[in-house]
Amino acid sequence: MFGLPLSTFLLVFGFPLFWILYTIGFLLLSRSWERDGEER
Amino acid sequence: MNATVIAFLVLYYVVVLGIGFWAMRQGASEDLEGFLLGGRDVGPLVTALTLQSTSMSGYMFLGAGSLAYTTGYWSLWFAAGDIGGGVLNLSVIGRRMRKLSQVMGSLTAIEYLEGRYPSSATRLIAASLSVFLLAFYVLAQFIAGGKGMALVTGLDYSWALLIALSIIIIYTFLGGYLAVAYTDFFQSLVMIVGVVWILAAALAHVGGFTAANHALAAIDPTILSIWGRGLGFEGQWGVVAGAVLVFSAGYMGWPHVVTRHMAMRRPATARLAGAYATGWNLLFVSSPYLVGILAILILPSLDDPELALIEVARTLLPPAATGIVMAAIMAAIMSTADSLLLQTGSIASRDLYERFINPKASERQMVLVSRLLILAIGVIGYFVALVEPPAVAFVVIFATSVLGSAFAPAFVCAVWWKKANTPGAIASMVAGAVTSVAWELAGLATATTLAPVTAGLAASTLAIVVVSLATQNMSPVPKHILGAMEETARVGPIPEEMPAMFDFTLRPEAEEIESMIREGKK
Amino acid sequence: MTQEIVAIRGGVTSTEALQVFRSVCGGGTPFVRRRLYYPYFWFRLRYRARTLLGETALQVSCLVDARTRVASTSDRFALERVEAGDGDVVEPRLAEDEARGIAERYVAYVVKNRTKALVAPDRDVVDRELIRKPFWIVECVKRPDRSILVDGVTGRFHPLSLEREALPS
Repeated sequence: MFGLPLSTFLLVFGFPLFWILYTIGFLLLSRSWERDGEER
Repeated sequence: MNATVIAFLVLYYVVVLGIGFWAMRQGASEDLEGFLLGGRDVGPLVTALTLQSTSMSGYMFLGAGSLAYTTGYWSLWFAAGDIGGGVLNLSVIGRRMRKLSQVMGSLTAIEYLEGRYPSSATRLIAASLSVFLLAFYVLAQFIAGGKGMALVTGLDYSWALLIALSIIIIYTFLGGYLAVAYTDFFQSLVMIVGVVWILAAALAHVGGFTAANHALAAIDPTILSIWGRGLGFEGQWGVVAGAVLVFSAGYMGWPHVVTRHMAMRRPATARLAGAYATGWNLLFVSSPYLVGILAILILPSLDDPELALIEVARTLLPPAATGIVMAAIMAAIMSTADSLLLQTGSIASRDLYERFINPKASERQMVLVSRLLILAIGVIGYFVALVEPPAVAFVVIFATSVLGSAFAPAFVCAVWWKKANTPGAIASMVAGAVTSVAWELAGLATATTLAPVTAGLAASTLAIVVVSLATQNMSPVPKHILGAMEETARVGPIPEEMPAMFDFTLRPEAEEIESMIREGKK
Repeated sequence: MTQEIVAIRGGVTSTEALQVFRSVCGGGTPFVRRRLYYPYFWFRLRYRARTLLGETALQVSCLVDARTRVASTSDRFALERVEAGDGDVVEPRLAEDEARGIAERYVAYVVKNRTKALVAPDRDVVDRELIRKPFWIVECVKRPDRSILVDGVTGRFHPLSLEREALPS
């Protein structure tokens, strides 16, 4: 794809995808943090 | 370089200076008190953007391009880890560190480590390591600034370096009133626009991504390989792991990055900041590497691969755009150098000088110590950068490897593992730093096919686990710290039906009154 | 016995404190157990610094909790002298000098953090006083463990986690 070997394609696009999923997972799992609203 | 470029460079600085001047005037009129101090702290977007712009700049514009130009797609392994560095950091230690530092009342990363792992040895080791490595890291910014300045002005490198360095030091000494959050934010925006613009121009020039890859394969098919040009790293998973780890896990060891966690307005800011960090990194992190790879096609015979990005900009962008982009690069370098120097100065004055040398130091003496140290770093940095400048990428990767190896396990275990104790943390910092430095100096990476950061992180993780477990009886974690950690693990006690008038800032008072009532009843 | 103290003027009455309880805790019959005057050291600090672009100045109000040592910057507030029963006045556990140290350290840190300043500004304490803030402790008749602390100035609250056995039923 894009003239790249499969392994390189995964390196260039797979890792960003992994981090996007990680971020979405983090946002979902940390919803309760919003209640942790202390300041100071 | 032509007059248009210089004109835009000057224009850029006039704008930045103007923003700083305006902010300072506002500050003098007292009405800005709320902005500076009160409830309107910088939110998650600004947190995420400035976090990146103040940490990676010189590397991104010179180091990354050079790595990519010389090794091809292999360099993307560094980007693979870096993209997730922000969100990993914020998700793993962000919220808990924000809470624990508040519960313990620590203001800086070093104080925090000392609070969690009580011992003056913790502070001495952590502060000395930080001062030394941050100073070393600033060297990369000096070299980057000098090279950029030489290219813009056409001056000899030695003069350009002197000018860049002087600007950075003066900027740092006045910094405060110029480099407020507004200017940092503005600079971050110009940076991202600049680098994406260069990438777009480069892609257009080579006829698109696929065509570029076919052309690269025609030059040397191994450029496209994940094992490096000439397959130099084939099968070396320990080196690959190091490349991925250094800017993801290693990022957790930077004192000036983790300090930002402690300054977050609310623990929950970590959530949005994490999302913004990923978004920003997706746009920004891979771009300089890709430009570096495309530069192999656009400028096949570059003398200095570190200038790949800047030369591509100069070749492809209109002069006005080159001026703005150069300005963004210089601004980013200055912003990074300025943050690092301030951080180094404050660690040296507060955590070493005030703590171990002169406990009665006045604010003035401490500022003097900071300034003298910054000057010394400038002078030494000038000669090193002049006589034998190391590669920007090397300096940044090495400093991050050592900082990450020394501190990441201690920071992570501080909030996640109740058995992590003082001897464990000290052993971990020493083992991580010594292993990663020795690995680099002895050239063990090639012999063992393990990167310094891989070996260093393994050593420091092993040390904190083994030593903590072995010394549990001798040196248990104090009760008040365990209590603070339990408090940290708890996510707000607000029952579902109590949202509106709830006020967390009353917690210290509430807890105090609870204990008074309990005592009164006994 | 009563004593005269300086307190932040609080607009929240006991009736309003009960309403806060009802709005957040639903059923049950709440009653106000007592009003407490909680101590803070208040400092008004003034900073002046010279820069190449001229002189800049900044005034900051800082409250230091006189028992837990927690410092915070504060908004403007009005003060009044009130008579309060000895049992309702919480005594400080912190000396003023110590509190001043905490306030200066905290404010210096906040100012530096926001401005990235590497200057040693001139600093004066413009104003200082031991002040108290009124709080209402509201409990529920049938559920003594569901008590809350209501801020007498803002009307905002924080739950008090008191064990059942610690309270008379």
